[in-house]
Amino acid sequence: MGQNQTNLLQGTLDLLILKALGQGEFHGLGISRRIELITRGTFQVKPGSLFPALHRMEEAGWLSSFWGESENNRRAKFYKRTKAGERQLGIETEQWATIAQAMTNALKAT
Amino acid sequence: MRLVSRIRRIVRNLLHKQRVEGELDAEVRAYAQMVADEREASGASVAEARRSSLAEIGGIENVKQAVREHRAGTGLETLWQDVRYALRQLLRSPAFSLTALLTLTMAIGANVIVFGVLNAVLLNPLPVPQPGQVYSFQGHNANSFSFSWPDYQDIRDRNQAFSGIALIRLTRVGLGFGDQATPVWGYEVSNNYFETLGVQPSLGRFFTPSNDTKINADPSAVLSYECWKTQFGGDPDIVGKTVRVSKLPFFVIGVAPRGFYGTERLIWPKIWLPIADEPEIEGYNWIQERGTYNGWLVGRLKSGITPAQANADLANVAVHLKQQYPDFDRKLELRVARPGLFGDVIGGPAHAFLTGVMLMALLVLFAACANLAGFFTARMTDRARELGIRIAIGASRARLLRQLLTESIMIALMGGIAASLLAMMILRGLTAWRPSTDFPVEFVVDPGAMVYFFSFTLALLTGVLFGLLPARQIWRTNPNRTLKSATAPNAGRRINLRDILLAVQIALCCLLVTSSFVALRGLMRTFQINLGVESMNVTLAETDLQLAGYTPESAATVQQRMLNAIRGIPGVESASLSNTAPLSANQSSTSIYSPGTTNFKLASAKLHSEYYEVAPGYFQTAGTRMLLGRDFTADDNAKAPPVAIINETFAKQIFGTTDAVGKTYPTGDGKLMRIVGVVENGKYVTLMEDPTPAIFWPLVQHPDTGTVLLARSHRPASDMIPAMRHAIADVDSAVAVFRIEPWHDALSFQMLPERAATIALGVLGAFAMLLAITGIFGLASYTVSRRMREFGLRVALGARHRDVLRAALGRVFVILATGSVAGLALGLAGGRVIASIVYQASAFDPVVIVAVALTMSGIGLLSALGPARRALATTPASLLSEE
Repeated sequence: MGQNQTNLLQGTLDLLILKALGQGEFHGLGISRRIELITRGTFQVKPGSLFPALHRMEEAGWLSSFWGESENNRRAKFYKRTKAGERQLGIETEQWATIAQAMTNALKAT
Repeated sequence: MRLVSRIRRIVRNLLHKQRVEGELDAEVRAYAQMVADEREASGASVAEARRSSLAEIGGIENVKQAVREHRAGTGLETLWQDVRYALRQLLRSPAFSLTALLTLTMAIGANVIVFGVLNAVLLNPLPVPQPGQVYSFQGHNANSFSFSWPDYQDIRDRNQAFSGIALIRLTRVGLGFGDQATPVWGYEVSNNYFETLGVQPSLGRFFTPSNDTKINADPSAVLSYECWKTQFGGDPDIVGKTVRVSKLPFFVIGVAPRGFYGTERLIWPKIWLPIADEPEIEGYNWIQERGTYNGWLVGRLKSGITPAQANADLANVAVHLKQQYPDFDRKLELRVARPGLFGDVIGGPAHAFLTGVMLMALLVLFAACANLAGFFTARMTDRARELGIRIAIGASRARLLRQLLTESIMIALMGGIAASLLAMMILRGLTAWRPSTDFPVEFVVDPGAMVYFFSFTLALLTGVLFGLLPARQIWRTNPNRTLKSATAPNAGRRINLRDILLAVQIALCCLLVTSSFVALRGLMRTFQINLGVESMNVTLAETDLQLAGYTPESAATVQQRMLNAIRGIPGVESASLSNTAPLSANQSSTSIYSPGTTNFKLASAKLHSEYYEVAPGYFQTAGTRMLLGRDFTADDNAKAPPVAIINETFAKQIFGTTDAVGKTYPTGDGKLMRIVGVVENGKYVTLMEDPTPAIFWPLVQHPDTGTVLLARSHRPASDMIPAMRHAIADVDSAVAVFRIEPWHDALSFQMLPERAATIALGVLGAFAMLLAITGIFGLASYTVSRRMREFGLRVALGARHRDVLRAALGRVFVILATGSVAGLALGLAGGRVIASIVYQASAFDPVVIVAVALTMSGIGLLSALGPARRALATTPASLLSEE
C-alpha cells in the first residue's frame, strides 16, 4: 500500500485490523497476512503503516498485547481485541456502512 | 479514551523509554525475521531472504520512527528535544543570544511598564460595582469640572439619564482623637453618594437623606477601611464613637468597604462627611451660593443609557438652567467625562498621552522584532548548509520550522521574564514614591495579574513574529544548492520585506526622536518661564489653622506670633506669610467688577482674578518685583481703608494701563478698593496658563485660616526645616503642618508631567535610535558582503569611490530618507498630543526640525560608516585571493 493510500484509508485500517483479529490472537505479520486474506489480496498492509496503527490502537485501549512464541518458535508480540475494541468495531462498522452507502448513492447520482 | 490510562501511557512512554524502545525494536525485528523465514521456506537463500524481507518492510528504523510519531507523549518529548536543541544553538553563539535577549528585555520591558501605568491610571476599573456606568461631569467650560450645590440639585433632579448623581467636595481636615491631628483628605458628600456608587458599608451604615437638609446639625462621619484599620486600630466598636474632625466632634456611623477609595484615582479620602456640615468644617458657608463652584459630580447611568444619550439629556438640562439663571449659568455646558482623573482636565491629556506612548512602545517592540528577524535571517543564511543537510536526510520542513520557532519563542519568553522582573521593580518603585505635594497623592501602579498576562502574551507574540519572518528561508532551502555551497541567487533590485521593515523602523525612530525633541524643547521652555517669584533660598511651611480649631478672626494673632517666631530664627533674611502659595494645589479666585459698575451679578463680572491674602514683606520674601507703588504696611489694618496690590495683567484688564496706583474698583458692598501697588506677572494655577490676573490683599483686612509661612535665608534647607518646625510648634503644638520644604522643590513638582513625558519619550527615542542604527548597519553590511565580488569587478573596470559607494549604500540611503520623512511627518502630527502635556510644545519649531534632521543624518552616518569603508577597501586583488 502506497503512502497516499495509507492517508486515504487512515480510518479504514483500524477497522480492518479489528475485524481481522476477530476473537483470535495474532502477531504483526499474522495480522498483515489475515488482512490480505480477508480482503482477497486487495490490501497489503506494510509494517510502516501497521505498527503505528497497532501501537496507537493499543494506547487507545482497543487492543491488548503480550509476548509469546510464533509458529516457528520466534518470540513475537501478539495482539488481542479488548472489550473496548469490540465496541469500537461496532461503531466503525456502522460508520463505514453509512459512508459506503453515501458513496454508492453519490456515484449513482446523475 | 480514559484520561487516567492515557496519562499512564504517557508516563510509561517517557519514563521507561529504554524498555519501550527495546520492545519496539524486538517486535519489528521479529516481523522482519518471520518474513525472512517465509522467504527461506519458499526456497530463497538466507541472504536473499533477509534482503528481500528488509526491502518489503522498508527499513526497520523507518518503521520504528513511524510508531514513535504516533506514540502518546511524543509531542512532549519532541518539544523537550527542540528546547534542548534551541538552548544548544543559543549557547553556541552567546553574543547573538545576549544581544537578542537584551533587545527583547528592553523592548518588552518598556511595553510592560507603559502598560502597567496605563492599566493603573486608565484601565483598572474603579472600586465600585458596574464601574462602566459611573461617569464624572464637565461643567462651565472645558477646564472646569466643578459645580455649585444649587446647580447640583437642579442637575440631579432634572436629568432623565442617571439613576443617581452625587456631589463631592474635596477638603482637607485634621483627623484625630485627642490634641494631635493628622491632616488627611476628606470628602464632603451628598447623602446619596454611597448609594449612587453602589457600595455597602463594611461596618455600620452610610448617610441618610436627612444629612443633606440639616445644616451643621448632624455631625456624622464614615471612615475609610484603611483609616479605620491604621488610625483606629480596627476598633470593632468604632461605630457610635466620636472622632475629632478639625477639632469638631463627629460621630462615626460606618466604615466603607475594604479597597474603596472613592472615584478619584490619585486622591484617596480617609473620611467622608455630610456636605451639609460644610460651613462648620470649612469655616465659611458657600452651600447656598449658585455662583460658587466647589463640588465635583459623579453619576451612575441608568442601565441601557449610553454616554451619548446622557450628554443629550444633560445638554437639555443645561439649556433650561441657562435660561433660568443667566447670571450664574450663562456658560454652563454639561457633559459626562471619564471618571478618575479630575474629569477631562487631567484625564483627557493623560489618556491621549498614555495611549500615544503605549502605541509608540508597541512600535518600538515591532522595530525590535524587525531587527531580530533580520539577525535570525542572517544567521539562517549561515546555517543554510546545516538546514540543507537536514532536509536532504529526511527532516520535514515543518519539523525544522517548529525547531526554529521554539528557538525564537524561548528567547522571547526569557526576554519576557526578564522584562517582567524589570517592570515589576520599576513599577513598585513608582508606587512607593510619594511626590512632594501639599497633601498625599496616591499613585498605585503595582503590577497585577493583568500586567503579567500582558507581558507573557507580548513575549509569545514577539517570539512567533520574529521567528516566522526568517522561516521563509526554510521553505526556500533547496538541499541540492546549499550542499553545493552556492548562495541563493541575488534577489535583485525589487523591494523586499526587509527593506520595508527597515523603512518602517526608521520612520518610527524618527517619530520618537521628533517627539523627544518636542518634549525636551518644551521642558527647556518651562525652565525659562517667569514664575513671578524667586523660589531659591525660600523655605515654605504650610498649614491651615482651621484644622486646629481656629476661626479666621482668632487665627490672626497666632499667625503673627508664628511669623515673629520665624523671623527670630538666626539667618532668616526676611519672612512673611500668605493664605496660600501660588502654584500650590490650593488656589482661589474672585470676581472683579469694572470701575463704575452698579450691577454686581456674577455674569457681569469683568474678570476672575486669583487672590492672595498676604502680610507686609511678602513680595520681598517671595522675590516678586514691585513695579509701581508700595508694599502693604502695618498701617493697612482692619480699621484702615481697603487696599490692594495687583499684577500687571489685572491692571491692564481693569484699568487699561499698568499705571494703576491710586485707582479704585468697586467691591460690591458699596466700598471702593484702592490700588496701592502693581507687581510683575507670575504663574498661579499652572505653568501653562496664559497671563492671569492676580490680586493681593492685606491678610489683616481679609482674615483667613490658611497659613503659608515663607522664610528667605541662605542657611541650607536641612537647617531651616527643623528650625521652622520648632518655631511653629512653640506657638501651638496642635497645629499640624501639611508640608515644609524648599519652595524650589515644591515648584519642581509642577514640572512633573513635562519631566515624565520627556523621560518617557527620551528613553523610547534613544532605544529606537539604537535599533535603527543596528538595523541600518545590518542591512548595509549584508548588502556590501553580498556584493563584494561585484564591487571588485567594478573597481577593476575603473569605477571610482563614488560609484562604489552609490552602489553599496544608495539603497540604504533611500530607505533612510523615506523613513525619516515619513517619521517627521508623523511627529509633526503627533506634536499636538505632547502639547497638551508639555508647556508650549510644538513640533513646528525650526530648532526641532533641524535637530531631527541632524540626528537622523548622524544615525545614517554612524551606521553606514563601517560597511562603506569595507566597500571602499575592495580591490580586485583581495577578491582574487579570497576566491
